[in-house]
Amino acid sequence: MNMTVDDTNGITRIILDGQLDIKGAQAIEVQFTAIATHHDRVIVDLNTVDYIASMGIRLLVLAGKAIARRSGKLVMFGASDAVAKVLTTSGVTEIIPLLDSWDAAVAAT
Amino acid sequence: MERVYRLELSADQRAITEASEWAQARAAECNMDADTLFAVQLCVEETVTNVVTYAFDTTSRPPVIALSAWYENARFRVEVMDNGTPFDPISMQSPGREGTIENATIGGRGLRLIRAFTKAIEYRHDGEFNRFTLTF
Repeated sequence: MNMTVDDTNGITRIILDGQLDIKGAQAIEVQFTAIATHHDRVIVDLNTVDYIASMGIRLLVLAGKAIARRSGKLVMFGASDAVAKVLTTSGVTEIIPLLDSWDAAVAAT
Repeated sequence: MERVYRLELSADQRAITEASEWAQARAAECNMDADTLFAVQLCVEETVTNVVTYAFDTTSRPPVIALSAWYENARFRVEVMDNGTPFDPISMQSPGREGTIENATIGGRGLRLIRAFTKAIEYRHDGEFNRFTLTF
């Protein structure tokens, strides 16, 4: 799991690449959490994420809680059908909006 | 024809990755499609995560986790066995709706995911082992 961050025009885009299994989640946990606690408008780009399980979901939810405490916004976009099904089934999308496009994600933050 | 494989795991975090990769590889050998391979990886990861996290909290005997997989009636099946605290995951209530993010429960989503990504799940305790079977 690789993570790159782009900070432009007050929006922080976190691009995740690979599998968000337990190993993937642990690989990015420190950096991902650091971003969440220091930025108020965060968009997670899931276009190149091909798998997500509980530990990945946990990472997202914790980041979402941290940002919410600061009255910030966290949204996601670009999930594959399988990844979207995991996010929807687990109820995460009721807390962290999942959008269909970058533009929609920007509008939601 | 029924084919059964076996894998025995350490009862720690490595077991989670080992188990999901092993099960997915067996499913690929049975020519299951991409959606099924994803489901197998996910459901085995969730199941073994729960076992490693909760099954051995209150036991002191040497932990045993074992996996077997087989292909039967056009279905791919995986059984996860452990000798931890007897626990029927099917009887567990799913966590309620998340509500606000401030109230979001961490964890507890595993069973909801497993139900959504399997054709069937079964649990029994054989006197020594929890046995949780996933059918894809």
